[in-house]
Amino acid sequence: MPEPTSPLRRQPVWLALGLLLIALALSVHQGNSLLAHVSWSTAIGPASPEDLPALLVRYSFLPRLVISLLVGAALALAGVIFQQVLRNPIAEPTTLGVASGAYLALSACAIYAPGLLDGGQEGVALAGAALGMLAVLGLAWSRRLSPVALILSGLIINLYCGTLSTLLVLANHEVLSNLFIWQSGSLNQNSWQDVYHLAPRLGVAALLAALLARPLQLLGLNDAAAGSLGLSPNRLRLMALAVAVALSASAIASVGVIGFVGLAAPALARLAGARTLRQRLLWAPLFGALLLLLADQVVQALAPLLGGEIPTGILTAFLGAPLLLVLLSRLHETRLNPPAARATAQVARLKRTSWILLAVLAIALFLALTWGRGPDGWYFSSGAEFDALLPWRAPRVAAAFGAGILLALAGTLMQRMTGNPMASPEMLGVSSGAALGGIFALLLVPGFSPLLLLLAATFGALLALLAIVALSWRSAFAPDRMLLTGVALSTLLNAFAALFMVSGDSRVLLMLSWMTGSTYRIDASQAVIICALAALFLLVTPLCNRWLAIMPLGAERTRALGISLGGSRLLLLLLTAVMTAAATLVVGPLSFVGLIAPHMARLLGAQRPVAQLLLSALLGGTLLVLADWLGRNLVFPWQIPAGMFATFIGGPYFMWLLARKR
Amino acid sequence: MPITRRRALTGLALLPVALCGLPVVRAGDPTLPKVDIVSFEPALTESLLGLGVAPRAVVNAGYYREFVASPELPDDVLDLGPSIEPNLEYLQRLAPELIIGTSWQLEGTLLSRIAPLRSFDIYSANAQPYRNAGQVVLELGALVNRRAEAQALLEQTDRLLEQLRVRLAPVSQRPVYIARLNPDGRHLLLFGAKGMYQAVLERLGLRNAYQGRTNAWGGSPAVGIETLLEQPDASLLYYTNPREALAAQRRLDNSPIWRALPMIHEGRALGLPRFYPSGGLLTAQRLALSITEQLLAMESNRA
Repeated sequence: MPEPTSPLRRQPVWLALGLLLIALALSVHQGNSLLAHVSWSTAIGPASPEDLPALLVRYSFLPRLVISLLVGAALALAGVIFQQVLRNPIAEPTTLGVASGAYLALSACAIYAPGLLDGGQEGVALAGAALGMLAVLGLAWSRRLSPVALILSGLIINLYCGTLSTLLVLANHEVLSNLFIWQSGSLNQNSWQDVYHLAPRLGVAALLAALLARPLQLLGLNDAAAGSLGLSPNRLRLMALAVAVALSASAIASVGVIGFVGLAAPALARLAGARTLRQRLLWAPLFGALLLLLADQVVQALAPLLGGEIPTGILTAFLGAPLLLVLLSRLHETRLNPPAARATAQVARLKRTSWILLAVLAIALFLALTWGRGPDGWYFSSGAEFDALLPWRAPRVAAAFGAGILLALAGTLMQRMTGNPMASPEMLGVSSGAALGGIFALLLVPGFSPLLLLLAATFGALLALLAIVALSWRSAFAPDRMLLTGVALSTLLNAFAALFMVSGDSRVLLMLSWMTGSTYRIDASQAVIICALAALFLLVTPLCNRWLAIMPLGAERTRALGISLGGSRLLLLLLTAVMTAAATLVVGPLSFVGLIAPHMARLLGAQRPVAQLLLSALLGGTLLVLADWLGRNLVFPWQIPAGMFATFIGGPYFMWLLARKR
Repeated sequence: MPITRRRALTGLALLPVALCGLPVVRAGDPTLPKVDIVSFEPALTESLLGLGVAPRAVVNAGYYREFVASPELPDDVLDLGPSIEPNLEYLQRLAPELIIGTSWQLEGTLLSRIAPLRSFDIYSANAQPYRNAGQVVLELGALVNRRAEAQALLEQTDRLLEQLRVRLAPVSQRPVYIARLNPDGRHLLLFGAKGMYQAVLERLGLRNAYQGRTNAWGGSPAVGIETLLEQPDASLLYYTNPREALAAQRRLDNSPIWRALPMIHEGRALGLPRFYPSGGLLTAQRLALSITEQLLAMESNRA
């Protein structure tokens, strides 16, 4: 690899200097406002404990400044290593399941082994981070860790860990207020403890990275070259990943989850002309340090205007989501070619299967309406008791049924359209858009009105749809790109959910219950609307039969048959978005029903579009009715939201699908 | 909180006040007369128990037992599950005479199909939780035919707080922060406007040092500990969730800013037991007693 010429080399210096100047100007301004009448030399030199402004500068302002530099550098360094080893420009702690694994581990520990957190916080975070990362690697292994497979695996692990953490929060909310702060990433300091803790770790990691730089650079070329160094390429990768995971875990254990610095800093370094790994290892941490310093100073400068500080991690996530979209659009090799489900049954058997499934649905509906759990165990209700309970049960059962059908139809459309059996409405980001709309309504308007929530969520879903259309217009709605916008939107959703939780708002639990897909607040009129929509789309979607039959054959053949690719995709996309928005309002932003149902329909032999649509609708409806019924009764008198219950079944199914060998 | 001689003496000095103020409700007494009422709100459950009657069922009984704790909830009170989603089928089968809760719990629901509803808001827009809590006790007393007891409870509480105010007069010049510490040793939550802590402080003739933004029940957003420097002369009363106390204390003991806080190194900071921050009149009583005890202990420690 040719060494870059000197003008290229100088570029990062100028960018770094520019960033440094802005950050310094803000810092000095901030420091001055703290010091008031005291001089900087008194603050830094020996100060008496009585001199409060000097103490504040010395033990709050300065350690915070230094910790932002250290954390920024650590995350950027980890980002460069992840990206080099995985050959993936969007690998970083928050996209690889490292951060969400650590968060889940800390939540579980706070509830089941609180003693462990006193001093053992870093170890717990590290164990969770390593497990999260291993799960992501394991899922993407059979696709040889291709960039898109890796990012989708990261998304799934993030969603799954997030659901588990939410369940813990719902059952133990009073214990976890501290974790809300931790999740949103606040850099506030009141001593040098964290700096003393993190600095040597960063030093060791930097040293190891320097030692690994040359072998890793060779590894970027090919395995044989790296083998000539006498190191097994896989052992080398493992070592490098271990360094990066440990460094990320230390950084996030001390201040919390700070997203996207590990993404932005290496990208900035590359943009500024740092070409070789060695250059990136040097410049990215520098940029990371400066970026986080800048972000943190901005947060502090904004505090008086906003009537309080927003956590720094929220700002970086907010700024990071658009960046992620830009980087995603440049991903090479976005083709994801998972195994298509093989038809294992003949058409004759398909008919019989359908009858069996209809019978299962009938039984599920019957059970859901009549069989329930009370203080004395399970009981069957009929007659007057049935009549009294029906107004409570029927809307929930009907809404779950309708939402299941809508999600299954939406999923089938997506999978047909993309020729990709792993596509689903959750991945499109429409569900996240709907949930974001709901959270905004809660943040901006006091009180809790179901109607307002409904309107806001629909609006959010439509905005998400518009974003998707705008972003995928150029690629004529190329399936894989669209899938990945879901990653960026779900990241934004998490950031705002964290902001809401840390705000101390008393409606946090209501929001969480809504986001986890509880059918509790569904009334009869809502249930009727959902079922009417389900019936409508059951009639409409089969009309797209021809498109759906041809599209999986590929773009060229579709065009050759005289179908306008952009137009047909846009229409199908609109249908998908409306169905997803309606279903999200009932069962929350994730349930995986839109993924499982169409896939199972194919496995059961539904090859033709109409057969797949109808069979998956049947499956989706049944799945959610069962999830709702079990969720209502299993932990009586408590309840597990239907969407969350479905996630527990759907998540592993999806992981199995992703990890399965060809 | 170690029991020092001074603290024991202060406690003894306050004992008569405490005895005349607190209602006599035995622990978890299953013989407490039941009323056919379901309560959705811990503060209302607390008030009913304070009037000497027990509701038939409550929402999230475990939460009440851990966070409100006193008066103790009899063991045979039924549990309806999570407070945001009480089990409606169970409620339908119980078919109680009345369901009580806050207006946001009851309004816009179909609960009126099961039983008549009545909402009571202690934490409402008028930001007077202490006065509202007294009003709620009177209304509940009328509801369960315990008017005399309700009136007595209200008068007792007013009298108690008035007595405590007189005792606190020598220290009333100093503003007071009330805080819940986070175990990360970096953040805390301060109690202010709209909350019961602030209302009790006002009744006791004290000034709350925290004047910032608060939510519906008076809690601030999480802020850094340096916020306490905004009123360096104030006293500090603080608590942590029991299982997090050790971690918080260890981090804080190592923090130069915490040690340099005037309230810390001048001995103007003491612990409080944990109170349910959105409780009713009985919570207000116990809160007032604890605050008084600690502020007087602080004064005698410093003397």
